[in-house]
Amino acid sequence: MDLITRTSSRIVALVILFFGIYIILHGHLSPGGSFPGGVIIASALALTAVVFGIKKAEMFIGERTAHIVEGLVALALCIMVIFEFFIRKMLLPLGTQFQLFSAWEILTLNIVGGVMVSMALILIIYLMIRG
Amino acid sequence: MKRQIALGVCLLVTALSIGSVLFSQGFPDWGRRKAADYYITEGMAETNAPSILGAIVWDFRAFDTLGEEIVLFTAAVGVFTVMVFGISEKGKKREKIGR
Amino acid sequence: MIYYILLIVLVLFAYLAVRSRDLLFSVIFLSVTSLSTALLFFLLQAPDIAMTEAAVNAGIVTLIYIIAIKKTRRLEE
Repeated sequence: MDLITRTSSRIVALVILFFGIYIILHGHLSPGGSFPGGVIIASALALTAVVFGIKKAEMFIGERTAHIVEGLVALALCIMVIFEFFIRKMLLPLGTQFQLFSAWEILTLNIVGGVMVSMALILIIYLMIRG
Repeated sequence: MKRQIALGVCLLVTALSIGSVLFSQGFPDWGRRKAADYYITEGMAETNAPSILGAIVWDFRAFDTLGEEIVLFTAAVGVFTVMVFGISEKGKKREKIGR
Repeated sequence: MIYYILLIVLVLFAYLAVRSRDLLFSVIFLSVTSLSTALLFFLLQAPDIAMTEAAVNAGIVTLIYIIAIKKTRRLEE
């Protein structure tokens, strides 16, 4: 890749990553949630994998890390949704309304779901580029 | 001959679907619906979240979202199986052809 | 008025994606199709689905198709 692409990709990938984290964290206030946020984080990492090569992109999140984290987070999400009734009784009365850290139940589930979606898509992209 | 039959069937289905939407009079009046009205009026009071769609997706209908995440997990595991182990014929043992 | 323009763009580029000979062209036409669908979703007052459709279809699906084309032929006979 030439110099202009490499220089601008350094900055643009960070901006896309922060935009994805913003969409996940504000899932209970504005449109978004876990699905678009996870996809945007995965596409930020896909940009560095295409421009700089896989070896540089694996310095952030490697393939074995994505595999293990995806499995653990899937199990954690299953447990959290099946026992949601008790979690809701514990978490709901905290926080004021309309602020960033209110509605703890939806915020926690959004973060866990966003991690799961991004790790699954990162694993798919690594397998397709390398295999 | 077969290509013209296929093209004719495609044009017929397209004309039927576009025509049935253009020349209709809209949905009938269903009256008050219980579940949708409950979500709109009581959604913010129950979950403290201004976004009704976030509350519906993660609170009122959480099992459907769990099912979708499981489908995504299955897709990732399927891609891993095909890329690392390969597609084998009947009777042969499978071993790693990836890493 | 804007609905008709977006719908005609959608159908036209989908037809071109099926009939084109070069596979890279058809991938780009599919991404234009998904962009038009995302605009339609936004005009019909559903911003969540517009964001998800644009991110998924024009981002990840295009990338995966291009990686798949790179491993096989590019021109279709």
